[in-house]
Amino acid sequence: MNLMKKLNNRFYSKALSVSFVVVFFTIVIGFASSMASDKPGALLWGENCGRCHNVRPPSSLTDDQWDVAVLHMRTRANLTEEEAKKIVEFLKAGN
Amino acid sequence: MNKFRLVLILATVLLLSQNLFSQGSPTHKFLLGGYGFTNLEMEQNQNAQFEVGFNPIFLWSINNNILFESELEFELEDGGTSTALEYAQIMYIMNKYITFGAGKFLNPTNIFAERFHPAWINKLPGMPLGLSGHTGVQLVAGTQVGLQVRGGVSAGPTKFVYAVYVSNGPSLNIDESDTTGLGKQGAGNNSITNEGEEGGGHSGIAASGTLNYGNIPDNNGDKAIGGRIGFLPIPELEIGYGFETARVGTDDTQYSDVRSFTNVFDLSYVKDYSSLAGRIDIRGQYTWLQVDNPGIGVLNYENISSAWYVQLAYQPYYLESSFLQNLEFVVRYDQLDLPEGAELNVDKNRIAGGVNYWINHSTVVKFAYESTTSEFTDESETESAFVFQLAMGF
Ligand code: HEC
Repeated sequence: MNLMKKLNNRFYSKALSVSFVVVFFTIVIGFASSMASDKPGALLWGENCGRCHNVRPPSSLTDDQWDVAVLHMRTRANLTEEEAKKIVEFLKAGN
Repeated sequence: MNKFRLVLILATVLLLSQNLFSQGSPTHKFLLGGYGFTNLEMEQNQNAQFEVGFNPIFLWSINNNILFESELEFELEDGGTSTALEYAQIMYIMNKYITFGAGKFLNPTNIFAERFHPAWINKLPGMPLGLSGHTGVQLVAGTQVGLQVRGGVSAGPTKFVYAVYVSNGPSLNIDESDTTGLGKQGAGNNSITNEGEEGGGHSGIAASGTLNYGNIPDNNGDKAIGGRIGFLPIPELEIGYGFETARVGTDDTQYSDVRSFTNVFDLSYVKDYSSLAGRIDIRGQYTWLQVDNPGIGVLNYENISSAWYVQLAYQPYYLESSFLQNLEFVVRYDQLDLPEGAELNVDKNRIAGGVNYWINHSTVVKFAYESTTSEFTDESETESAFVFQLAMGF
């Protein structure tokens, strides 16, 4: 608990906010050029779509509905552009 | 206020500087989602209660980069129907790594609220202590009203995710007239859902020193700042740290300088084990809230609260029998510790166990048993309850 109290100290709290922002930009910029993964859509679907809730089978929605649902999940689950693209293609191919 | 204006202006400039319709044809697409549920709660020494809720979700996208998401909540209450705007947010995917959101959104530092609270996702009928207005005192917001920036970045086999926001933030509850030690029922509290609640219905408890997360209109000019970083060393595991710092005191009162600081640690792990013939799902969250002690009036004690839960679920997916495949077993422990010396100082802990039967991927029947111990200053009391819930996500 003492650690937590220290964290709330004004100085620490400011330092923490600043380092948070710095870490975040370092990550974003640092990895912006990181190589694309070669995982296929089916694998990405299995890895990502059952983390929070049961996976919904491809047949449960139409192509247009999957476009919206995967866009929704891209924002909610912080999927990368590549993950979202491959997953939506996989879902559309299987419905 | 100035900081907030600056962010707003920056955001507008960023938005305008992008070509909004650069990708694909701007075809409108719409999806109606959401969920409905019915609860039957049988608490010791109380009449059995039925509850019902319907939460439609409306999603519109005009292209691959712009989405509007909104959820409404309808609930039966005291002979009427209550309605709430759970969230309403415009989201704009600015580039690969940055998604911008504005409006009312589920709090990204409260992973339970953002990811696990809908009745078809939550594996028990009730919600963990401290994380919503439905379980008495709340230590972290369910939703924020403001702006957020979020995204995810793959780094080889691992992945980082982040979210930062600026929002109205919470306000400090002060009730100088209260002598009961229980506080009044707060109005306009921020409920993230309506399942299996205890003690207080829709509104949380507004005892002095606690925070109100339904802070509209904002009680002061300062905006809250918060965020979360999550790390996925392997796709099955995510660990996260979130924080929020805010001035919570109401302008022009003796408490106006009072600030709050929130830390949240979370973990989720989901993996299929062929050796166990099924799936293991572990979720946990630890929330720590400090509100300044100005040493005046009704706020003259160290105001630190915490809440945590861990939940383990197992579903024997790979068994031959389709009946057994659809069964899921869940246990959860949760705890809420309120400050010594506070007007409201009832610590709680609870153990819950449940068995679920999945009719399909998002339709479930849940049976759960909960045993809750409340620790008052010099006595403690344990109560048990059976809760039955039918939930359907669509
Ligand atoms: C970070 C957790 C999380 C992950 C990962 C996730 N979902 Fe979801 N999903 C949710 C939540 C939470 C909801 C309910 C939305 C609400 O109640 O606000 C939801 C709802 C849905 C819905 C119902 C329609 C809608 O958009 O609300 C579909 C379909 C869906 N998810 C598909 C997927 C697919 C496909 C993936 C993989 C790309 C996925 N989900 C990954 C959390 C997640």
